[in-house]
Amino acid sequence: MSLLIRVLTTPSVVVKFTPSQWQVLLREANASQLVGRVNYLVEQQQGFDAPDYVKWHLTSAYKIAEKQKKQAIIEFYEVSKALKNLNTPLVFLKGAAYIAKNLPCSYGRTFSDIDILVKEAELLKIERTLKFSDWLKTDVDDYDEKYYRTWMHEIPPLAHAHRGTVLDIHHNILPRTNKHSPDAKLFQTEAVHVDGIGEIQTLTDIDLLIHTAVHLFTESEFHHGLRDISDIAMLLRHFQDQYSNDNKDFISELITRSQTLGLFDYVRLAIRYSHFIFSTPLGETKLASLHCPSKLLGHLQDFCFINILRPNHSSCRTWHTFLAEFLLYWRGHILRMPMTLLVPHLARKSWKRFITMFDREESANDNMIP
Amino acid sequence: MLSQVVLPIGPFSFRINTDNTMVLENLHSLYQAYPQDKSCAFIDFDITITTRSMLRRWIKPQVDFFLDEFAPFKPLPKDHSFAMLEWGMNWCIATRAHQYLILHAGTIEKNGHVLIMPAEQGSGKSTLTAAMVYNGWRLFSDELALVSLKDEQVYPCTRPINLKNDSIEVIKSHLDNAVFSTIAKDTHKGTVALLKPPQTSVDRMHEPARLHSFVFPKYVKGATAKLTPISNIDAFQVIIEQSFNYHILGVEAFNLLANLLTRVKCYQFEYSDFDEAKQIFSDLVT
Amino acid sequence: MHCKGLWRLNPLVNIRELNDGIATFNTFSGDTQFVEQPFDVIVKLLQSSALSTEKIIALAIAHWPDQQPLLIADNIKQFLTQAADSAIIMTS
Repeated sequence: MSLLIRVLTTPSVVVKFTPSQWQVLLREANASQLVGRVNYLVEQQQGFDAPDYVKWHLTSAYKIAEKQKKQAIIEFYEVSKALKNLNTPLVFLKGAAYIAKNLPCSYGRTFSDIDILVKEAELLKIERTLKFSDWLKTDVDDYDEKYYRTWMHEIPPLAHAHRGTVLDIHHNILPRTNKHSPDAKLFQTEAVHVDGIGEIQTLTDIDLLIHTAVHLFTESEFHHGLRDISDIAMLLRHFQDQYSNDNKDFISELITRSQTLGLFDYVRLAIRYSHFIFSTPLGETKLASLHCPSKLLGHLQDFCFINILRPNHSSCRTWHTFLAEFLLYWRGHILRMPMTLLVPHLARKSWKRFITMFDREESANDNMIP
Repeated sequence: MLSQVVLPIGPFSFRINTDNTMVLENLHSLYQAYPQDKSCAFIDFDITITTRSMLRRWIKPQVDFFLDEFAPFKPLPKDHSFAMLEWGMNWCIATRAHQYLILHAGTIEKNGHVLIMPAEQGSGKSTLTAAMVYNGWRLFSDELALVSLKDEQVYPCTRPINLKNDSIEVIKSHLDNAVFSTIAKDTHKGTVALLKPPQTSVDRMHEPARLHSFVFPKYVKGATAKLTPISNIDAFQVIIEQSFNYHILGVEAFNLLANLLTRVKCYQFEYSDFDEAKQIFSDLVT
Repeated sequence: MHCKGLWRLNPLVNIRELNDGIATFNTFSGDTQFVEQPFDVIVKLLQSSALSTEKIIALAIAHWPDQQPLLIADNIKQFLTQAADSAIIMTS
């Protein structure tokens, strides 16, 4: 088992770590963008201080994440202000939502974009209004732009001209072409108080977790798969603790809600693998209820996901990983697009990649070398 | 077949893995005086420089720089490989060592007093640094000033000095026995070569010291060397512009700089002649 | 009747004195800004008390008796507007 996974499961093991173990942990965590989270978990160990030679690595990553958090909070204010006059619902998703709700998984977690959910009918108006507040289109070619708008549940990302933040604007949780695509109106939101800002809208705790699960288990590439399943594991633990204080069982309620939305299978996968990889307790839910209805498909899914949800480092990859990547790449695409669209789309992607391989000299000025 | 070299550089340890003969030769000649510690239990930065295989190998070979398995840069032509290593090492420190406020500056020390010389690319700070450290000053770095958030001292990260274009000849003629790396032509900085650091600087790479002054150098052809005091507020602004991680560190960096600027002086420094510069700097710290 | 607000230092702003002015850091936005002499005096005042524009002008006129009062008033108003735009000060 990878040291990183062991630490994420039982952080107290670091107390006995040797320099070699710290080295391996840091290597795996760097590759998986989880150094900040490791710092958070290590700092929680009462009376324990990481040794000096590794501590600065952990705190430096944490500082970067905390800076991003501060910028996200600024964006809560700025984006809300920019769209205020439109009087249109604005919901913050994913990493931004973790920050707004002050969840443990937000500490030390890096993220690149701010994700928001808006009404599909208002999309054009919103885009135009944001442009007046210096949110500009990023560099995508016409085909990708059409792909985003027509078939995905987002428009191409916008970047702020001065602050540099990137905004991903979604109008639903799943692509229009996905057979499970539920009506966005069915998702429940709640107001969350953010210090210094006031109230912003996020999904409710349960719907937040459903969204994260759907997002991870419709992916076709898993570069930060371990981070995402670790997010889920931390969310599950946190909400379970909260709910059990009120004598409720979070996972049961999560499952029931996901069935209402027709998204149970994604949530099943999320809970199942969180349990297998991080030993997340299941509360009142039985493991048997998390099995795939088809035994064969179940084995295949277990093989793929357990092998892919690992540190993104060669020391943690085997030929199993390669096979899993291949299968899941196709699975992700098939889930997102029907075959009639998929084949031309993938053909175009490979052509573009092929052409770039033969590009003339890369310009060194494109490098950010000090 | 990758060779490995482990290098302590001030507070950091680097391991360089490479199959590239130019890199190995230059490592050998420029880092020869560095203590070799094969038993290093924990390495801060694990770097690999390899030549790209496949088609490009014979046509216009390129090299890649990896920090562990991450490639922060696009590949560069093979004859820039040693320069790429040095730039890559700067990048590692500047993007990760947030226990320090890191400034783009030449940093030298004498009599326990550190001068930090923040400057734009092309201001001549590396050339000035090179001239000073072969004349009684200790080299901390020609590129990176590391100011500790914990104890406010300046820490060396002693490495070969980056010289460009004309400065290479200027320094060659100014110093006897200067040892240079292979010269790399047509890089994004022009022609580049690295100068071996003085032995004493290397020996004392683990000794920090207190900041004495900020000196903003400007090479002006024909000018007489002159130190002009400038306002600490003006200095503060320029220092922020020349910092790599001020914005990541936020209020910690703000307070650190305010603390420093409360007790040190700041100067604009115009010069054209190294001997004059040496005299002025010496007078400053005695 | 609308009461004109009193100026005070933005509570999210830290200030540090240097020999020729003050440096300010906004802990929310991360912005660093500088206030040169003689306006640094106003910012330092507003750290401990809430004052109206008129009061500030009156204090300034008393402090610099050999300056034109109208000029002082203009400069102060301009400074207050700029400092407010930069979120260094705010009205309560």
